[in-house]
Amino acid sequence: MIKGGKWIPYLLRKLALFIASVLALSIVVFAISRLSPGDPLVSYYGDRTEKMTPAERAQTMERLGLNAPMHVQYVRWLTGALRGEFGISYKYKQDVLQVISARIGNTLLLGVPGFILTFALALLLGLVCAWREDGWLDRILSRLGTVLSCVPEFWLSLVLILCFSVLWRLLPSSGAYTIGLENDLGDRLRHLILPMSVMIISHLWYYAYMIRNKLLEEIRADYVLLAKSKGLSRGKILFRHCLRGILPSCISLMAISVPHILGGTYIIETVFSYPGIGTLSYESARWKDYNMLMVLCMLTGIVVILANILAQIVNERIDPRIRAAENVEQTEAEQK
Amino acid sequence: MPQNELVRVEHLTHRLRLTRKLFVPAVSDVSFGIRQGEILGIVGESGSGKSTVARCLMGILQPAAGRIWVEDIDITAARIPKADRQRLQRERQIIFQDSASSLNPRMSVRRILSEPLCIHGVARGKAERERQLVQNLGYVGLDAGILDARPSELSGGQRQRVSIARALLMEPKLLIADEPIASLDVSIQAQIVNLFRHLQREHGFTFLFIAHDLAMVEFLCDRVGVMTRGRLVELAPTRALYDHPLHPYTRALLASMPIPDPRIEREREIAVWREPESVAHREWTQVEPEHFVLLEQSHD
Amino acid sequence: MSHEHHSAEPAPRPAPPMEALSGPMRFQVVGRLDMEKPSAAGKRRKRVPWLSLVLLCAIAMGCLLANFIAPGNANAMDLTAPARAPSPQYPFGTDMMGRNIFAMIWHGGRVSLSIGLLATVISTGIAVLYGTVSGTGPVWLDTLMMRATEIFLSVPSLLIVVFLQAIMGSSNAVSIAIVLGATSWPTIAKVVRTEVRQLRSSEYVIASKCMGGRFMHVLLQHFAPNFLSSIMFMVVMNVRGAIASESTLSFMGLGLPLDIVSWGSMLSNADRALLTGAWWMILIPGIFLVTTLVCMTNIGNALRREANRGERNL
Repeated sequence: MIKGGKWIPYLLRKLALFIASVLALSIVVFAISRLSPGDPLVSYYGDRTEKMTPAERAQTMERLGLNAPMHVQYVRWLTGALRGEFGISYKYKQDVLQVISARIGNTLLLGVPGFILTFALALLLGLVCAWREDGWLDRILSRLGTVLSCVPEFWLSLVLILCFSVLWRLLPSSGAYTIGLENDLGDRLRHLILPMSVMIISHLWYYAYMIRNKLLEEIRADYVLLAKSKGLSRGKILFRHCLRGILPSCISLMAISVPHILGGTYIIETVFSYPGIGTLSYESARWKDYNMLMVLCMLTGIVVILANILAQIVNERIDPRIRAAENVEQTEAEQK
Repeated sequence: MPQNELVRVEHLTHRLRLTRKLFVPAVSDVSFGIRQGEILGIVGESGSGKSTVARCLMGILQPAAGRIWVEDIDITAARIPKADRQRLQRERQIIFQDSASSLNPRMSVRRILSEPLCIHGVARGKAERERQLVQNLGYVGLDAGILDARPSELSGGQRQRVSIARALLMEPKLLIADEPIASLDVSIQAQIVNLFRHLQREHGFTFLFIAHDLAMVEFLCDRVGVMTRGRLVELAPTRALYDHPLHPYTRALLASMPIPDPRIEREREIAVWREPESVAHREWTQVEPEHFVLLEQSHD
Repeated sequence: MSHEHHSAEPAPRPAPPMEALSGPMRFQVVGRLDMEKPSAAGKRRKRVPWLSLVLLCAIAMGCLLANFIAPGNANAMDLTAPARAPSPQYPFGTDMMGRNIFAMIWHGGRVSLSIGLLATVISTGIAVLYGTVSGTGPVWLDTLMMRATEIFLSVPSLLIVVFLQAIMGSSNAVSIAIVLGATSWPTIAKVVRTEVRQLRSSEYVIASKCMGGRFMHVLLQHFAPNFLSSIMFMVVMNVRGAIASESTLSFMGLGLPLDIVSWGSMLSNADRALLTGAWWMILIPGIFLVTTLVCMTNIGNALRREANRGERNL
């Protein structure tokens, strides 16, 4: 599978690309955050800001380093960041990393299983639909899937909460656990059901449809005819040959889908008041908590850049033949 | 620049870039002039750099070295004044080889022809423009009926006539045709060449005709230049060149011209010319009045 | 291998008994190579999404004629009738502040649809310019510009929108549309750039430049007609995306304020509606929103099929 060139210089090149992208991202994020109006002092001192005398104000600004020119602030922030110091959150009055690390587990608990489940189900659904293209099952699923993938996440969440929490009182509607039951696994899982369902339902069909089309393309390849002429059964061809054929594109599809699913998770978290990264970034955006927002932006951005580079590596090294076709698909995936 | 020349090319060199470090010389050290109102032909096999010369003359490509003057405007200068540039755009027109790709397939003939008029804002009212279009179609032997057709609905000959009409609309002083007949059927080729001859006499434009068909060039051109491997090896009035070719490549090229008589054709031996391995010295020399040859001296 | 063939003859097909075959060679026909490969898009004939078109037109007409269907101010509060369930007087009920949801749907739809359209006009404009510059520019500029879009895409758009909202100050329909338009162009720009890259060395473009055609002339006369069909689908999807984003933002309190009625801002009181179980405040605006989005998706997909078929025929 290794084709053209050696791995180590190739990976080094990708690493350089990664570092350059992250640096560019940090400059952009920093610039935007400092250009936005809104008084960061308000988020730090709340109403007390209004009572401050100009002298006190200037002094506080000086102490927080908000007076220096932009590039000085940027270099200061970057050197701090390299040492793992991201400053303190204006709103929580705590080290940014502390606040984040307290919450990141919750997001991973929701995001990772949700992501894996989404793609496992999408693969299954894609197979079912490709098995009988244009059959009744395929048609029904296509219709249903199109409708479901159009429903905005927040509204789907609202409807599910309305049904399961308000009307039927089956499942909790918000938070990650019931207070007092922090260590009860069952309780945690019950809190995860609704957010994860929304996550899966709203993304499932889009990827299932992509996988279905990929499989159909694969079924029309000439080697399938050869396999059939050897006497292999339909199921064996589909599972053994076609599935293996689309695997690289599935991996790159998963990598490309990261920003999209991540964005969706943030919204879902906010609706369900789930104490994760999404809710945190929403809050810090509302409160203009610059340090927090920048770290969160960087964190998300780095995950996305990593995923993109992974997709590139899969495309360029593992599966050279889809290089050209992928561009179109990538833009379609991003379009959603 | 001699008095009666419209175009002067001096030591033109152009390299095509293959990769970041690899260059292929496309044209090396080519110098010639085109006189006011003449038809200059350039022949050579494909890949000999003819089209590159044409594209440099049009300003599509920037030469790596050398200078080109068109109507005493130095088009290789870093900055060309706006007025000069606009004048060039009007007075210098090109006809490409493949009319199927040089006409936008989504436009009607009417829109294709009005494009230069729109760009230069010379159209005065709809009726006037329509009259001008029909008149120009008349020059190239087409009637107004095809104005609403799309290029894909026309034959190759008709399409090439449309591109000629488009080039003539601006009443150019210099017309460059880059292999205008190569993609046409033989019978149509003759029609188009006749049309060129007729149009050139009527309108009196200066004409650079690039082709690889030796017979057509002989019929049409006043002077002919021969190119191979990016170099101009011989340049002479048509009769002189066809009667007394001097450069070995020209001789080989002329010898490959089919003679329409099977008895002679059968007896003939085709000469093959090979470029000398290493050339110590090249000199562009005038051997007879108006007859230039590239003299090459090898090492041994 | 033909899929048609496949479904007509269920596999695995039982091998014929050996004695039935005569001669030294034994064949089993499993498919025909010369058979034209049917594809999902090619097999279906031109399919116009009539239902979606009619529904979308109905909703759009209703919104346009909002002043006739529900005259008066959609914001008018009737404090004596808050949170009323649907009834003959209030067909869709009233919200927490006693506003008539029926009137709000049509007036708010006007806002939502206009935001979608305006945002798309802005993003398409940016995308076409950006893509064309990148596509016609030298290689280094192209690489730089495409890298920039990737970095842009790697920041979650929600965060960019929040930032831009903060810069724009107080939010109204126009500012939201500008923000959404300014964040959703990169995908279209990439497609435009790919198409322009293919077109820019075609001879009619070179010819046009030789005649003195400027950037805008070449863009409008030669590039745009060619890439239009391939971006049409994305443009429709962009309208859809902008409407969905607006409603999400307004719901989260980052978009339109409560007193500017749109399908999104109608939902921003949803948490209080949830507490009281006032289903109509959540379901009715949402159903209109989702119907519009589904119709647009269907139309977009039909456009994409059309564009793909066009390529095949060429």
